Amino acid sequence: MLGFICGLALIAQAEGSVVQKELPNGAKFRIEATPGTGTLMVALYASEAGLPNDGGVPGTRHLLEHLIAKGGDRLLDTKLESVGLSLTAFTERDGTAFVVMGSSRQSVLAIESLRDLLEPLRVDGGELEVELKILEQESALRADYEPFLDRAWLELFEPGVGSVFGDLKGMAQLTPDQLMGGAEALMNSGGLTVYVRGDVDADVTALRLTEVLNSATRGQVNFAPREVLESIGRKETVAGKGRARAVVAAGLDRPMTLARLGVALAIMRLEPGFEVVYEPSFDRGPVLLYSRSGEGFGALEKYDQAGLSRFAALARLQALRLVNGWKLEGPRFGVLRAKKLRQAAAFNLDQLESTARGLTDDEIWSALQDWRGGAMHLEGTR
Amino acid sequence: MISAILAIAIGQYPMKISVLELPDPGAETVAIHAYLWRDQNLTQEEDAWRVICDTIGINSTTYAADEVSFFGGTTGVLPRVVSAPDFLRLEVVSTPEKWRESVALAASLVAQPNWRSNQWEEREKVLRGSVDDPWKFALWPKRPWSSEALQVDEPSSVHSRLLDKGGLRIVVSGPIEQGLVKEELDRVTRTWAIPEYRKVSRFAEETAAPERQPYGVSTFEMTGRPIRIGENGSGAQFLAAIALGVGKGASIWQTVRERDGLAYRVEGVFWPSRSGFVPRFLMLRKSEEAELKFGGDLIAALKESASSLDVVEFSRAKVMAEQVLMHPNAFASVYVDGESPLFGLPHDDVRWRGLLNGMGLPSLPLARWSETLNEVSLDDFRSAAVEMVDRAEIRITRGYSGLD
Repeated sequence: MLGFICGLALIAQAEGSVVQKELPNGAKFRIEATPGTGTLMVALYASEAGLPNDGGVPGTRHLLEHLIAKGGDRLLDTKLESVGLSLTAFTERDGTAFVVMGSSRQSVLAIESLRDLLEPLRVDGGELEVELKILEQESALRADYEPFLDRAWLELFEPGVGSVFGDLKGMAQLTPDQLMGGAEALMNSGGLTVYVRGDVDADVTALRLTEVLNSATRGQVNFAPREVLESIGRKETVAGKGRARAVVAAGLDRPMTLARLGVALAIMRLEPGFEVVYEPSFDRGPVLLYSRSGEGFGALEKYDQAGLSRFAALARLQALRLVNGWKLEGPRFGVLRAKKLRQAAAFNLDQLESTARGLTDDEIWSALQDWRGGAMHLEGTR
Repeated sequence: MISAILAIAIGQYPMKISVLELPDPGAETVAIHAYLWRDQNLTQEEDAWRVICDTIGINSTTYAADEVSFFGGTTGVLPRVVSAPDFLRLEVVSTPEKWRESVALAASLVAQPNWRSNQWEEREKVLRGSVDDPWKFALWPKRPWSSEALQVDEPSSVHSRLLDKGGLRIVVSGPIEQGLVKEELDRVTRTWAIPEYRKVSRFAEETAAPERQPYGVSTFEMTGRPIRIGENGSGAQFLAAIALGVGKGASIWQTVRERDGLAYRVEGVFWPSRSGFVPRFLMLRKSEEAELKFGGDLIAALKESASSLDVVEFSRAKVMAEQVLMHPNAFASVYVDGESPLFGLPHDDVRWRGLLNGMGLPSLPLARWSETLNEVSLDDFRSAAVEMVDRAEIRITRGYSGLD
């Protein structure tokens, strides 16, 4: 059996304690062993391309994330937490994430728990009703910047990228059968990537993971980079409080992405009241600079060539801090690495730190100009 | 006005400094944590406390802001200040060779802020306009600012009073020789004195939690009695709080959220206070007119769960406790300041022991506390859960959308 599984591997690279593979069914994984740490992280990422445009009902992936994360018997959390593991799940524009973290002593169960997530979804009307109530409560906790972010995603790309949170009324119309079909599409093998990091034997874990991923519904997914629309001079109104600007970042493998983020974070540091929002990705996506009071954007005009070196130093430092924050081994760390397998497999994430340090004054200046003249302006109506 | 400040100036006082040295010969860096604790949370001092927390660490009367930045440049880490309603902590990471300079810097930044040049008045204006998100607000509910602006000497006066009452507490961990830090601090601070401050009336009012919040979200909270780590019964209390509130297998998640669909965010946390770690069980709900009954639902759900906890929940609590104390965890819930929980980070043990020290408890290492929890019996765990819920206080902070 094991020999059969090994034979299925199309691409296999073992670099010491690292194993990276793509399976014939399209699923990809990477395992990085960290001997002696005693910890483990397993991040399963289901690309949005499995269920493009949420299957026509915004928020379907989000609702599915809630349902799938419970596991087939609805006892997944309790089972995991009883042995020192825990599961967290969230939905992004790029895909839906399920992350198991905890003690490496339970690596077998951690990997096996993915099988639970890949099982065909079963859901009845009663359960769906409770979940919709929970989603309605979640809607109250959405940050003030979210309508601005939703609008930027919708307006800056072709086709527009819909709200991740979704439309509660639309979701309420979904039937259990539709959701079961949606889950099958979202979790099909062609859109799956898994990142494992921890105190494990990489080769043994690779065998287990291969077996589990082979249990996923077989399917193909069409990955296409997002087409960007022009942002210069665009003005939009948003039903929300505050004001925002949005620029497009090409992906984390491009220095200008870090330059734009560094500049926005520097502005946030210098002019409190701003928030910077970005979904770390190697695909195209917006960076949002949001002000709840609607004030402060004049600060972008304050910095000229004479004061550039000081401003650029701060922007570099902020970019570096951001990158260092991604190194904290929480769920976001695992998800960024899992999605990289699909989006930019060859890119070395360790380069991000040196890229941030090496941003030139010219790149920072250019990013500042993007925020000034190249950004889409979003005006809140409240 | 009962809470009026009695403008009685008192003379200068000597600086009181306590030092907790935690030698760790194998460590590559020295962690230096300087604490300022509050003796009371007085309404009249709330605004000043927020300004103090926001501006300490920028400079001091001994070190200019540029020197602080330069120090950060040499070690790669700028001094970091974190705060909570009851304390603030300044953290410095130093190379072993520079520990003396670093200890002096940390002590000076907390004990000798330069109020004339740290631009606190500008920061105050910014703070007045800042808004937390509903979760941050639930954790640390802040009352609206009480006046248009603070009196010019208010932050310095409150700061001096707190220093005089509680002193400066320094915790140092790393490859250091026992006794040397104390010796060094005695030498450096020999001439330091606490400036004059205004005394407060003994009738001054303790801060009451706000009754409303500026979001369309209401907070329902059950608050247990502070857990005094290491004291009798504390292990059972800690595990009971985990079983009731922490993780997706916890009672609050399984009943309030999954069974009843009452809320999206329900969570138990351990909140650091001068009296100990306070177990808090929080439910955030969309505000509505007739919402007080949901407080009753929260109580009923937790009471029902507490009385039926058994060996399955007991086992989960023990394992989960080790996870949230010692490792990175998606349900990290043991807060070591107002915004960050333990997360298996390199200096978490220093933060934990420093807090216990400030709570007047023996500075039990995290790993030992985690092991101690294995000695708790099922009976004690069950009794602690029932008692925790029975004696908990309920608080509801209603949200009024558009209040801000």
